[in-house]
Amino acid sequence: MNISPKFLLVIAVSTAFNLYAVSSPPASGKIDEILARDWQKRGLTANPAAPDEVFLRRIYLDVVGRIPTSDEAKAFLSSNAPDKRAKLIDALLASDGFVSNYYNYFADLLRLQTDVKGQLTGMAYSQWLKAALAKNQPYDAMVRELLTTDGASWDSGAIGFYMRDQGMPLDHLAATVQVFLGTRIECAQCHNHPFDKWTQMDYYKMAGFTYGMDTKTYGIDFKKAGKSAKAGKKGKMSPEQREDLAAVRQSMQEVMKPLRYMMITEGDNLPKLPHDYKYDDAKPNETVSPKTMFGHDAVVKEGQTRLDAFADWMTDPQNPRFTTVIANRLWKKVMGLGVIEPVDELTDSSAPVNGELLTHLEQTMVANKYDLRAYLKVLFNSEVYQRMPTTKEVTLGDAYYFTGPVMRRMTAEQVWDSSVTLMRGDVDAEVREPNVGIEGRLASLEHLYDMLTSRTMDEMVAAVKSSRTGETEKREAEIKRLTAEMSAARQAGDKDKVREFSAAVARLRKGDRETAFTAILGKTGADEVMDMMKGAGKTKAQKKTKDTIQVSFNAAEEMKKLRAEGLDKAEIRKRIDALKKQAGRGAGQLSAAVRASELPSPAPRGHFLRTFGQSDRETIENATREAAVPQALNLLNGPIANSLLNPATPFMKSVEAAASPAEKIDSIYLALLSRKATADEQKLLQGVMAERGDRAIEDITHSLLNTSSFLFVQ
Amino acid sequence: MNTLFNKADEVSRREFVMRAAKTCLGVTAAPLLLGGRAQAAFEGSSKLKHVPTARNVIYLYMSGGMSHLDTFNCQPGTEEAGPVQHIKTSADGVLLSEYLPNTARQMHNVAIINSMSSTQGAHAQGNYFMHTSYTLRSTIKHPTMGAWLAKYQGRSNPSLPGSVVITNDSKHPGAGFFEAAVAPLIINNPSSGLQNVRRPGSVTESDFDYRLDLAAKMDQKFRAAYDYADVRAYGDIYADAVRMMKSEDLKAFDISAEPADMHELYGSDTFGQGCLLARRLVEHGVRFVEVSLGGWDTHTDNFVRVPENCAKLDKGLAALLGDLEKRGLLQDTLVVLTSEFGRTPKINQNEGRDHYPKAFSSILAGGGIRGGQIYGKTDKGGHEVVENKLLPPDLNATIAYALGLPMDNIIFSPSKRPFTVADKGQPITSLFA
Repeated sequence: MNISPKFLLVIAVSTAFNLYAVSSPPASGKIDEILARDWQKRGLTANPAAPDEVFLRRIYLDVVGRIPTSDEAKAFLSSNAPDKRAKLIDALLASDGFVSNYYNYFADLLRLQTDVKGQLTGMAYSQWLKAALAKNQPYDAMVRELLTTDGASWDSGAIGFYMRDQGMPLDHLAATVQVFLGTRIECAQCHNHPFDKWTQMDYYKMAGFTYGMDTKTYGIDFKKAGKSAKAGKKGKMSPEQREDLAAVRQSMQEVMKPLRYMMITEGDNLPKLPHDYKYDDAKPNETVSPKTMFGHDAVVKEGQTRLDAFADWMTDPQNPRFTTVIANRLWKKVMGLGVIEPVDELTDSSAPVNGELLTHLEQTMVANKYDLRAYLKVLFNSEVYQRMPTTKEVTLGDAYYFTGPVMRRMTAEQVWDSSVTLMRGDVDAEVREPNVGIEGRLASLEHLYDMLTSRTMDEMVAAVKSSRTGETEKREAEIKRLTAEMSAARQAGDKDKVREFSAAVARLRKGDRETAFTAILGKTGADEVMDMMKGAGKTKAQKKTKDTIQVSFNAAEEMKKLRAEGLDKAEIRKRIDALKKQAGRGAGQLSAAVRASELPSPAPRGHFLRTFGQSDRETIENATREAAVPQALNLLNGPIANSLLNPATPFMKSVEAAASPAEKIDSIYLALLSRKATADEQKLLQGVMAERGDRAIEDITHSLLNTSSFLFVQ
Repeated sequence: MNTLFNKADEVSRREFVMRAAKTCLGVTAAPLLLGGRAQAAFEGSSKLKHVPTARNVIYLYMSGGMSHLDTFNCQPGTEEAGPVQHIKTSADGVLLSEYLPNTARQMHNVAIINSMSSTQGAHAQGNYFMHTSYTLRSTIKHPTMGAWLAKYQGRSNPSLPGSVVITNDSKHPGAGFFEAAVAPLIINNPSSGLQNVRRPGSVTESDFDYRLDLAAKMDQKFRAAYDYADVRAYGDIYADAVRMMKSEDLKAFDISAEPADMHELYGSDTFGQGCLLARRLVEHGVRFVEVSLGGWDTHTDNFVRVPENCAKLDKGLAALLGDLEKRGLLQDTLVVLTSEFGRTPKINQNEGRDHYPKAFSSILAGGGIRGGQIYGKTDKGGHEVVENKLLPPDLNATIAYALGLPMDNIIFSPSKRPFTVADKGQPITSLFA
């Protein structure tokens, strides 16, 4: 048996974790029994069993979110072990790729954005999600943590859950109910739900639980700064005093700015009905107390806040929808369609296509204590998962009885991560690398916060005030003078002068900020904080760009070889240039190739990922697999194909290493489709090899990349 | 909407709409469905029907909150005006900030609205409200005007997108909940045009065709095995992509084809180049083009930064209006300039102005607009709107009116919520000639 060291390593890792027994769980068999009875009743036949190569490609994409490397594919296909599928499922579920892949899934569900106000909180949230998946935190515990965590982002990234909808607590509640309870209530925010039973009152009562989470705090109430000074004076302040106080607050705000959107505090605020509330059960503007919209009451136990009680109610196996939603969502992720569709629009009359199956899935979820990997293991080990996909599309709205998985295009992340795999091999472990830049910045914020809270508000006000009497006032006078000069220069049409003055003013303003920092934190403290903030700004993706890809090309060495061949100078120059060009092709793209989970969420507009339908993470599950012209343009003319053909990629190395034309063809197929070429394909492509010579490898690779066989998951 | 209604028979569809209208909106929908005089399905939506006055829109978005006092709402002799001088323009009685000398020569074509007002004072929220007529929500994304236009009237040139947005704002709401087919194409850099429309240098045309042919052969078996619309769609988009690559219209995106004096006229910065691209695109049949200009968030040094920004705006805008007019395109092309809000009339201690949604300005030109007028009014100093207040939905309704879009037509989102273009805004018909 020819198993690559990497494959053995994966197996070793999984054994070390010892998370699962290798044989397929009985719950998998029960799925098949339930389905078999249903098919019999309806006169349906199961799809044929999927051969190894179909299973192989699919299981990699489903569990770790990418196609297997050529070595991984070879190792599995050549193994004769009878339980090799179950073993591979276990190994993949225990690997880093699982974290990367399911991060993408949950980021879409949770609308996780890193490019937002309070970017650091967004990034800490992203780190939190990866960590939760990596330690295999049970789903119910994850949800409880999201619902109840307050405090600062340097303590827990989970606060990103509330910060995501900063200032929109009512919208946030609608999203929470949709994600975790699969129920749509957003209509009821403004009026009773037109198509379901929810009233506006139900909505506000549910919102009562989460409404106390205050996302607008800085952790320090500087807005009242100087109030005590005012009280001391008795009566009204003079305009000068007021201006002075405004200036002090402005300086304080400047110092506090970095702490904005970094913290939430749990209070006991309750929502008020809108001013135009129009139903008879309450008056407009009335305060509403919390009550659950269905199921049992959320009873606050000793030592609990109402949010704790809410989180317990939400994640209780007795909650009529919590378990159904996650069991059904993951079934859909694995099989292509939910047992109930749509997965997040449950009503009292929602009917599963197979009630017994849904019940079994719910029981499996509960029996495995919401351990997502254990639950998925049951699904992946079922016979039905390991069948060929249904060859005819299931029309929207038609019932589907799961005679096999439904075929789907790869998600945007799967296409991207598969390309990354072709270009760089298995880089899944990068998801585990600590993000030094973000951690450093979070630490610097914590430090700032600690320094600020170690002082009383009055001390800080006094410090700022005294600093203003000297430096700041002088600086302000200087700014005034420069601004006047600037106007004059503009009138005179002297653009260079205007620019020069403008820069000088900007420098002075920066000094103003420094003065405020120094006044409050002291010289050493201010320098420390500002250094930390300046230095630690690099993100993970930026950090990686330099050294991961070494395009190996040694001009001197090559030149020596060519000279030895007795070529003339001009010819040598020509050859070297050609080699250089070859070595450099697509190098920029290669070095930027990190897995989707390591890029900002979402990727910027226009990025490959967005072109292929990555969610903008504005609304829940907003990713699409729709075909669009820019996708074709990207694969035809974009940088991926070019980078793939760089001689340093594992892909090109494997093609290079293959001896005969037939083996080269097989190595291309193995890399892109995880199988060898069929006899017909060999015949076609050996013809291409003969006809096209040097161009053939490039032709075949570029063409295969542009097939539906590559883009779809059988 | 289609999937919702396609399967429903006429009776249940009617029931659905009636119920939706009744329960969501508290009105009776009978007149809408049964004909009759009181067609009040979406109470408050404009029912104005008329011949469109504009075919195209060029929408210039001043991102960050453009100071109204230092541009189009001139308040000479007030403390609020700060150091800004005011100049005469080509329109009688219309003054303009000294920062816009070239635009001043175009004012006979322009209607200034000085009575804009918004309810949103933060950038993201204000920007979203202005672009969609709806306030920002976490539960839905609303379409922008270019997407509404494409939704109702399709594309005029099938090989080009219905609308194009030239911006660096990665949060542009685009098609909102509409399908991808009506989404605007986003271009970050007007000079680099469309991405990936040219063959890589190493691939000759015959290589390219050879590979397309080879890909089709390799894919034959797979495509025959799976009867899926998605698989067929990939066949279609590859055909479209190749057609696009070989299309003559692609040159619409290539501003390098413009003579040097055109580049000189519009300015070499991104905004000027964006305006030039907008004009080319409109010439080639793209009907809605947005160009954004950032840098208006002048909390500090307002009187340094506004004139810097105005220099770019002035060159691009004046060039665009003049060029459109010279080419006979201005009469069919509505040029809109707006922003998320204005800036505080009171100058702050950092010589800056802060966010001010209460009163601000926009302009309209071409596309049937009567130039040389000022619509609406603020009090002295630009604090409060005292005459003819417009909210963002009203501005969008005015655009919709010019394009002839049905403002009383309801479109349901996939979550079955009812929406209309311009969300019940009222078009200002008196702006039109």
